[in-house]
Amino acid sequence: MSRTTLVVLTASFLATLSVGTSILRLQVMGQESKVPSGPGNYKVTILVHAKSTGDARLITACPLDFNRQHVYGEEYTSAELFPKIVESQNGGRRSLHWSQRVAVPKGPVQARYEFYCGVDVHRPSTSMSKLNKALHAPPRAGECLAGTPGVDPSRPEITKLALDLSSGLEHPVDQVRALFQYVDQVVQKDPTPGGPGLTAAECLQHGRGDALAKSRLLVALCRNRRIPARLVTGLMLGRRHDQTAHVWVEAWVGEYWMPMCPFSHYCGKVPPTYLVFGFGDIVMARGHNVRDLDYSCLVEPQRSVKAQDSDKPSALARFFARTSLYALPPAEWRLVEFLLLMPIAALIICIYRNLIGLQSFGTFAPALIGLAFRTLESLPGILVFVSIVLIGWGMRRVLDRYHLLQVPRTAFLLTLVVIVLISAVLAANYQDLAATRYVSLFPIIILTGMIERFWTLETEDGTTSSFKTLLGTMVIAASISLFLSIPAVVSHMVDFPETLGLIMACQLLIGRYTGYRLSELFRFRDFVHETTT
Amino acid sequence: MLWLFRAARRLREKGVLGINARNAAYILDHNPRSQFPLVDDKLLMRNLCLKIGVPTPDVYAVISYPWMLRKLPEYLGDRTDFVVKPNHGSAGRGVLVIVGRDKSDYLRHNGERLTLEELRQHLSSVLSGMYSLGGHPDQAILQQRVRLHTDFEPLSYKGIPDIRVVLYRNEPAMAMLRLPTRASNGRANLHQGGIGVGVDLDTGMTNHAVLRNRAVTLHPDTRLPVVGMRVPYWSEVLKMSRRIAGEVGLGYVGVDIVVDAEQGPMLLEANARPGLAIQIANNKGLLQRLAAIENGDAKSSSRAESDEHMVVGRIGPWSHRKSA
Repeated sequence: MSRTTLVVLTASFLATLSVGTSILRLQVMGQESKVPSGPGNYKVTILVHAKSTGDARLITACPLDFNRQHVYGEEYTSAELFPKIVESQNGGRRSLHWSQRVAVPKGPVQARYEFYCGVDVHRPSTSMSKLNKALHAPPRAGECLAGTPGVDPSRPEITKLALDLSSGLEHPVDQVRALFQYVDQVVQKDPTPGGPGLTAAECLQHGRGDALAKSRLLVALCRNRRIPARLVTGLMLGRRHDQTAHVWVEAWVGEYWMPMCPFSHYCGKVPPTYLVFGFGDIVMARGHNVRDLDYSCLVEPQRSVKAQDSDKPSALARFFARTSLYALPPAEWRLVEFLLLMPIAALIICIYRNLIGLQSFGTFAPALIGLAFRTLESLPGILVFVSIVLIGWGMRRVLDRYHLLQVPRTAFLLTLVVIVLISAVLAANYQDLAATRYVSLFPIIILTGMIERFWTLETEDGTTSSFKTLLGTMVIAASISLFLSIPAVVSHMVDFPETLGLIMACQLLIGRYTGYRLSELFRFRDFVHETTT
Repeated sequence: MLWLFRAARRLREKGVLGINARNAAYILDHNPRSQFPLVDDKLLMRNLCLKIGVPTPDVYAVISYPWMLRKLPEYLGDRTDFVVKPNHGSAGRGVLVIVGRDKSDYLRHNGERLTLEELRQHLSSVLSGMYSLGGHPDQAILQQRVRLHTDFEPLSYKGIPDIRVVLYRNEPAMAMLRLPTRASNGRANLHQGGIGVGVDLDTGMTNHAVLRNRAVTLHPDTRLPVVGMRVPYWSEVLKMSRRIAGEVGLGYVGVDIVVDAEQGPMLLEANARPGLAIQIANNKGLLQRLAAIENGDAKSSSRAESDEHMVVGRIGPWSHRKSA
């Protein structure tokens, strides 16, 4: 068997396997091949809008991936703002930081954050259970007892009420229940007006309050009795219409954190549709340099199309559901999403190098630059990149006089590149621009390598040739960046990771392509023209 | 869009070998990777030449470590002309040609003067890998300087022309003469401004010449014709290239040979990935000739051209050639 036949056979096998799996997945899972649906699955959209007064920054809270709630398929879009997800070390707090994009004028800005979530998940993943254990660990001495903004447990009226309610009760559970009874039954309910909300003392004084005020009062009462208690902020997925954040309470009753909702009369247990965003008094959306900040959440239950056919999913459906990338925690999910794009970037490079014949610095360096551009803002990113290469090249020319050995020379050049980057960050900061949006992700090593190659090529083959190669590198990187920022490409790869088989097939076929490169039609143009004349 | 396919078809009709086809169908299929170090290492090649009795420029000294630079005057003795080469260099990078001495200074081929210290500096950067493939630490070779053969005098500017023969399965497939010019600074590389001159395999006569991909007839510096001259020792050159190709174990190889004024043809080096510009220099595609060699019809290169009905190895996109 000739090698080409072998390649074609392997490629066909891979392509068939890949397409077959995709079709099978679509057949078995239907709509669910994209995102899990059925009871307990919701799509949540949080829309934040505000008026920017210049360099606006917004912070929106994100739900936690823990306990029996699983978050997946997060997407953040905004024409005016640049998103960046920030997670605390243990994942106990997640938020989305938005900063105003360059060249966006003052005025209205809008940010949309969408995610899917499953509640009452039957088999929480290890990371979900681990985080749950960490967040529901026994409080340390003094934790969740002191006063916090809006919650002042030491006020005399609070003390008096707490003592009255819990007198004669020994066990913390009984005390907490008594306190809950009061806040739940006696304090009247109000709708949420927005703004900072009433404090615990004000709520008690008025005898009425919204979910936040009532929860603050309950926390203050518990803490007054030396029972650790904390606010929980989140959403009530059960409510379908537009809504804002909901707040409830957890109190440590000796063995466990007991959840209570003094607004909706739940004590000891809250429904699984209470989606936790974080513990404490968390603001769903806040901002700097903005006016009229407002937000709203929309919750849509994901109904299963196939639910009527059979209640119990087939083994194959269960297998697909278990192996779906949507089962991953958000951070891992983003990593896998990034990894899935690498082979596409590599394929684009194969096309440029072997079918078109464009030269670039380094074989796969353009892929990394392209992916870095994708997460950064493309145009300024490219400009910063090119100017760093050119500045570096200038420095490399000076460095040539020193006749340094290669490794120390590269190390020296790397240090110079770092200094240039730091200066760029400083200068950008002086101009009130967040430079990290453009330079933070640049792989410094690649930059250094590229400067070295640029210089070598320039000295050996001339300036034209080196600038041509630099242009080629940028064209490849920009194509990769543009293609991979098409949302459909990304979501298809995540929904159908088996597409990698198809990509491998293409790579194999290009690997045995013996036709001319596009550039060779130009290189050998004399041969072409001769036959015409 | 259609003109692209027409252009590609025309190239195929002309039998032009493209880089993908060269890599996939010739280099990958015929050149075992294990043999590459032999041709990439000038010293190994020299040892091979000594073993099989092929003439090659004499090596005066090999400098492998920086401490050896102190002994440089000892190595050079009273030699007035020599060439410094990086062992793993390519495309003439890092080559220094010394043609004479003036007291303690060394004179380069282009008239530049070098002090002993400057010469040491150059050798030191060779050792550091500045000119080697991949930038790995390298050795420097002090080599005999080849003298220009009188036949080449009208054809070269401050440098030695070399003859590149591309062989397929130990049969010469195409040959060209590379002439240094003022622009190429004494080097004979085509993309640095050297002239590529096609040489007829049967007669050793130059028949076509290109400078920067354009056809020329005169040398730009000497203003003398480069086409229509006979390459000296032609049959020896071909014989030598066959021997080398057979010894290095590469199915598709470029062999570079220089002609010394006194010692005749000498092997300079071999190349496991010979370039495709030789086709432009000859104004002829390689594919017909390669197919002829494959069909065992290799003894005469002219026959390959006259036989128009010959199978051209089917090097279309995704060739179906059985590999050897």
